[in-house]
Amino acid sequence: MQMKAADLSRREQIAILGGLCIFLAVVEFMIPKPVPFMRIGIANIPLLIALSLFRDRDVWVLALLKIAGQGIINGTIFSYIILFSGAGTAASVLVMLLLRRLCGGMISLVGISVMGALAGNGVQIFMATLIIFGDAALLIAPPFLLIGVISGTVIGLFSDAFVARSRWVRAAGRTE
Amino acid sequence: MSRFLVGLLLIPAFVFNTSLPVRILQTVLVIGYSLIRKKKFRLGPNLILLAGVTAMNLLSPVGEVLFRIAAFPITRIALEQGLMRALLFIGLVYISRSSISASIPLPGKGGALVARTLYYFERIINFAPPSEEKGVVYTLTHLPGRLDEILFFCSEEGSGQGAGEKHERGRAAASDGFYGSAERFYAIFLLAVFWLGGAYSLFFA
Repeated sequence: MQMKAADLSRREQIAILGGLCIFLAVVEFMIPKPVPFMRIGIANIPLLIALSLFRDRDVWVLALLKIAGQGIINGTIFSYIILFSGAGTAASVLVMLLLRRLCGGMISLVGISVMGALAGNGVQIFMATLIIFGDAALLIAPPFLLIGVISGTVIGLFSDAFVARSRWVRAAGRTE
Repeated sequence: MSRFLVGLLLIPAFVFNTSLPVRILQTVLVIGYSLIRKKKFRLGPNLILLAGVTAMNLLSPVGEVLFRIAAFPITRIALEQGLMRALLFIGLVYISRSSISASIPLPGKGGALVARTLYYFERIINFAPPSEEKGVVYTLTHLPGRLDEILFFCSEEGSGQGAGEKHERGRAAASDGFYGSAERFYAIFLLAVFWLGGAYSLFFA
């Protein structure tokens, strides 16, 4: 069974994690949220897994698949909300990749996840200030960022434990 | 017109619809489409999903109180939102099952990657754990293991398909077209109802 994961090309592994992103986006969509701007971010789990497996370019491809998939599932693909989602994910991925490159093994997936969530949420607040709400958007910044830290920590803890123990990640990591 | 194109055209009319009665109709019709394509349908898991997602949404009361169960208020907007979300998921599952085949002929490298991503999404939806490992409680208490199982399941499906990929690609591309006139007629009917329903919900409901 482990051989099958290792036998798959990198492209197939990206597609599998992309499919998982879309599935988790559906699950997240079904979870009710007490405040409209709250996001748990479970669709980021495949991105965190990808960080431990893929090169930068492949992680970007997966991020694009995630943005498009989430847009389709949430029905926001033809709206300006996709800009928020896209910019947030792009900022998050950029920060996560930079941290991986600069800190290497000195930072865990929990730290990377929290910093990624903060970057994503920060960019979304900036865009909300710029495009829709003006300075009023800063009022939601504290709870928005706090939620980002909490969800980033939980998602990071899960991903860290998963990557450490997953047989699939071990097998897929052997693919050249 | 291919099945994939029909699925692609159904999704916006389904997702952007804001009317609950229209969504109920769309979901029933898309399940019918899936049955015509001889895909499996099980009522029980869908009802559990519908009840579970709706119940979770009712935990955040919004809107007029319709009635109370003990002291707990059942509110109109929370109930509608829950049903809309659950039906969206159920409908998307059946649209995916009906329109995504092992090898959708999308052009270019990017198109091929998107096709494979959609294929694996459809496979994940169809993932069936062993009977002793079923249920929400088991899944929630064994999340990492379950995720590993899903990833291995996808890998097996992918490598199994990759073994005869060249042969299968041609066969699957051919099978993406319609088989009979009944299916073709139903697909056109489905598209008409979906888009008229979506337009009705946007402009009149």
